[in-house]
Amino acid sequence: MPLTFYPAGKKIFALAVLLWFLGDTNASLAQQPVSTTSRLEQATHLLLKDGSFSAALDTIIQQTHVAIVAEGMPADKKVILDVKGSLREVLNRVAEEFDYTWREGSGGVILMNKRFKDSKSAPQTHLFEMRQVISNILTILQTLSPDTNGVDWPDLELSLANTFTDEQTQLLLKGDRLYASALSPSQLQRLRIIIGNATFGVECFRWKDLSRAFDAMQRSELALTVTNGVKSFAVHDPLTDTNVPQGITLGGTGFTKKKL
Amino acid sequence: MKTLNYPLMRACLGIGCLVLNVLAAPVQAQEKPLPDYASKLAHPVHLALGKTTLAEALAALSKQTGIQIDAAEYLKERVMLVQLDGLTGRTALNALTSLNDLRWSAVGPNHLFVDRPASGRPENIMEVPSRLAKALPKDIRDCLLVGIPRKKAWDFAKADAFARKSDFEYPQFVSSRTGDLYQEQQRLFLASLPAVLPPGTKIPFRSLNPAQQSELLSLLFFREMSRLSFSLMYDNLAPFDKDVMQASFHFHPTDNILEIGTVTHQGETETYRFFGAPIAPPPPGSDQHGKNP
Repeated sequence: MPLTFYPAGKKIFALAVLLWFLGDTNASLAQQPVSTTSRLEQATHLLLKDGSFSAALDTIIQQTHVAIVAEGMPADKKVILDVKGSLREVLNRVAEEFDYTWREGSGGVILMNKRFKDSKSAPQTHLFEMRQVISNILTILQTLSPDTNGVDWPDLELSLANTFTDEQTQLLLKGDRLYASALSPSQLQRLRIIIGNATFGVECFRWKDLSRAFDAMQRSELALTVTNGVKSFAVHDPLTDTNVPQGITLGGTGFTKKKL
Repeated sequence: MKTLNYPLMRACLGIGCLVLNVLAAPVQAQEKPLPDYASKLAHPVHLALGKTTLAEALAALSKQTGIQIDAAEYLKERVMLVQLDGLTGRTALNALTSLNDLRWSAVGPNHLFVDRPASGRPENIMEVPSRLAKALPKDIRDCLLVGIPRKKAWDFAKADAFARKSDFEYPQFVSSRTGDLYQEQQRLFLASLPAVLPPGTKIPFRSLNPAQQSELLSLLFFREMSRLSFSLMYDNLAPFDKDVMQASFHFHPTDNILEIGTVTHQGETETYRFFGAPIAPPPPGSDQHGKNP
């Protein structure tokens, strides 16, 4: 009877493949997110008597051992809650009460972000961060706003109109349309600049002004007035002796809720 | 006739794999040495910090991992609530950064840096709306519903407290949201100031409390955001903005306005988007005819 290596060969082969796989992936396994799907279904009981957002999360963590990171802090709101259900249901309820959304991040961490359903809640604003944001916006706007040496688009448009040929002018005077395809290359280039300036020019100017205001903020002072009980103020930069943004006075009688 | 012995071949192949596995492991390690921070991030950390700032959270993580972890200056004051216990340093760092769509990167073998991905310069006008959205922090984007699919934003708007505004289009809703935000921050700020002030009172920004500073910055920023063109912010650019060849001129002789715009047709609906300025009529007696319509 011939010897057969089949069973042993199959086992060794399978073992080798398994070891190869494990050896190759061992390092990365530690970094794989651990699913908390089952943890999200575990029974949880949240009982809060006049409790804060922070207290709600503490209770959840004590019971379920999940890790949570939340953006900002809600206003000093206290709620009474008695919720029994899965962790998922309890998180939904807490998020609803405190105006948050939640999602599961890498490693099963619960990430909670503000939802801003409450129109009175506002995003975080810190001076250094806002300066960076304004700078980024300005960079984007400036990229597509051609440098016109301070000339606005209506003057540029007039300048372009003065380059129209007799045929182009007659076409317009007859009430017909003069299409871009009928322009000369130099007229087309002027048209590009006009459109760029019209679309981005005013925005660029205003954001430059706002950028100057935020750059000067730490040395600025509020010039306050109260007239007949109505408060108004301007942000004044003592270095340049100007109001920033330029000449803006805020508050006062103009302060009314925007009507829809 | 010669026959192949498959079981024997499998066994040999298996042994070969085992030998290769053993030999290859150290070679792989030599070729790709792990950076210092990688092994340190694999250890468990305990960050039960409660209310804190990003700078403080990263400082605690630095202390526990032995890695220098810095945040960009503009992110340091971001407030968050951190209860991360028993996770690896890497998972904790991922959670702290992904919460606000930040990123971390190695700037040295034992030095990590946290910042916001750059919005970058747009290559063309079509990229402006998405770049503008990317320039904003996540919470501002969430609040103003920008940078997310319009359908999703509109569903949110309709489903929530803003349902009363459902007869408005999405851009109007967003504009209204931004305007409301600015007005509310202004109201809070003014309410926090004394009711009676001596004439000419000036208050240095630095002497305002943190809430007042935040309200002032918010009202100034959102005031400008509320004036930022819908077209730029919400991907509603006119055809001539996107492609100059879509533009055409049209002259109104009664008021001397030269319009630049695009007429588009969708079914039986004609849409005309344009801008224009008065073109001064030629001065009497001048030889401008044909030069200025």
